[in-house]
Amino acid sequence: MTAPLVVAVPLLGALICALFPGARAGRVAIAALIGEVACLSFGPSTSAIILGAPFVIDRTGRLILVSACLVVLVTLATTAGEKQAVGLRPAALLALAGVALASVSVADPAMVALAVITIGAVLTWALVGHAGAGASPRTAQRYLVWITIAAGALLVSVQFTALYTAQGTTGLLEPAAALFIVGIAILIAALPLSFWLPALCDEAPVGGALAIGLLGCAAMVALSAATSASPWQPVDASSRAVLGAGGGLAAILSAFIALGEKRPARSLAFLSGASADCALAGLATGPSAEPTVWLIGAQALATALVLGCLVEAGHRGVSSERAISGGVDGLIWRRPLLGTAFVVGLLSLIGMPLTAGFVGRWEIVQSFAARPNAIPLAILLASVIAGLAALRMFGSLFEATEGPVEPTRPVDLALCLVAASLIVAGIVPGLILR
Amino acid sequence: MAISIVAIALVILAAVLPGLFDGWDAVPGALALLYLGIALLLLPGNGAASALVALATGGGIVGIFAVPAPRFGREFRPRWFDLSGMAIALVGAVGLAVARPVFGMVGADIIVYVLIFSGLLYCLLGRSPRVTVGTLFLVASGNVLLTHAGPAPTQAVTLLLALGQLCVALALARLRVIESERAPRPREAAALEPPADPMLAPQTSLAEEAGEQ
Repeated sequence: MTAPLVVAVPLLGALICALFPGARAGRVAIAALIGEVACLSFGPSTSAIILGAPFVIDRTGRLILVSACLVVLVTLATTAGEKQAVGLRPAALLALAGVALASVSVADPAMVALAVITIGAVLTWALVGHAGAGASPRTAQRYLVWITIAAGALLVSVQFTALYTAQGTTGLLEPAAALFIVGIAILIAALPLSFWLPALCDEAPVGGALAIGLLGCAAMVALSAATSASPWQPVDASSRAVLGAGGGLAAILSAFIALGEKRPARSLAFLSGASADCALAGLATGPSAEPTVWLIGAQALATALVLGCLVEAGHRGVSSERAISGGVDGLIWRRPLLGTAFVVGLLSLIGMPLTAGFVGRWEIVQSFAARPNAIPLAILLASVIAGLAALRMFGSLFEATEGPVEPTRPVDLALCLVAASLIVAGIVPGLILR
Repeated sequence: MAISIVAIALVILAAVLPGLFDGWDAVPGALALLYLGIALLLLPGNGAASALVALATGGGIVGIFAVPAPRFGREFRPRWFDLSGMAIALVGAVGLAVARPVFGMVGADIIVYVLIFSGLLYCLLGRSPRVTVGTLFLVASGNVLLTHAGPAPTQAVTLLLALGQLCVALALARLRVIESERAPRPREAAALEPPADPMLAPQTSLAEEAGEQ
């Protein structure tokens, strides 16, 4: 019963939030999140067959769904007091239901691709829903087009694989593998397929946090489903080498762009892209995608956290006409909990030790240790350059300020909870993996 | 075989229409032709149920983008250069489908390649109406992919595919509304004011000026 429940709970929450907008919708949304986590933690684990498709939730699916719940928590917490965020709450819960549907239908990979396109379309409402504070139509359109291309690539890859399995048609495995990688790269915003994220984070950081967070979770599901039984897994060594080298170089380039970027939201988007490229390089290690899945999850959660902190600090999204407002100056002194959460998210994004981002990078580097190559060096170099980019933000965070310390708000506690999960995952990853 | 040929012709016509006429007026017609072609392709091999689902989905999507009838005349100009670019893409798609068939059925191969090629071309190189059509082309190709590759899709997959297409259509329609709301309004025709520039004022002769003085 757990599998249908984890899909039905956020759906019901979204329906109630859409029918009864206003301040109470925020409480309904939080209650839906709590119900979702409760179903994941205490629900009876039995499989179900609905409309001919088998639905079952495994340990990886639970982990992915908890990450998705934390991403939605960041979004809801940072928009709790905003009246114009009414449309965002049902969209966030609908997208969470989409991730749940993908997580419980891993037996049918086509469902994952279709869930991705549904999630992407629903999140468009969250991106442009804010009156006067959302993304521009052009940015939202660019985002939707890229996500559609990603979902299409995944669907074609899945169907080519199914065709090969059923009929043994030759010449399908290489395109299937390539399209799968392209689809995943777009979903996690890995350079050079990350053109939809920087402008989105700059214009609508809340929507950007939701998009990268939930689409990252969907990518985790797609990777888990593909690695279970894919005939294109044993791809020749030269293709793996290209993937690894390309991922490493792209990570370095993305970190360099983040270093030169002046707008904080765009810089965070490129840092997220650098982490995504490291995750893609990890796919070249072998048939097991667990390190990559872990790193994608850490990237998604950390990006959502830092963008949420940026919004709460005062950055409400800018258009090309308005001036930039950072809002993070002296944040660690003005709002200690919020500043700490921002620091933790940033450290996880650049892969510092004792954070979830470091665990994923370490696992990927360890898997390359068996054979000498330059990919671990590329990942290390990308992390160092990303650290330099983050250093600029640290300077603003720890800048002396004469303002008084602001009282602690519930949103600060919520964001600290997410930050704590990144620390726990970094210190005792075995607690989560086993 | 005849039904497949008609289906291919309808889909190709659907791909050509936005390339020929830029603007939102061509979108409902293109989508209607597209889903009619897909329904005809699904009818002989997958049964009436699949065809009806495709028709119902298509009807919903066309209804979302329904606009007043196109105004013929100066605003309805064909774009021949754009059409020539689309023709190259279509020829390439058909050639690739014939040279490297994937599904074993010429109709399905051609339609999938045409939808993917034209969809990508419109998404990456067009303005909002063409981007809308291109995005829906890419999503609609899933109709053929899921029914002709591998085992028959389950009811859940069929339902989710229809839901996904409708969600994308609704999202694109919402972007269209917001874009039209934020677009600058055209300047209203105002009565011509006398020019303030003295160089443009009615000229008087020196004799007339001397007489006045």
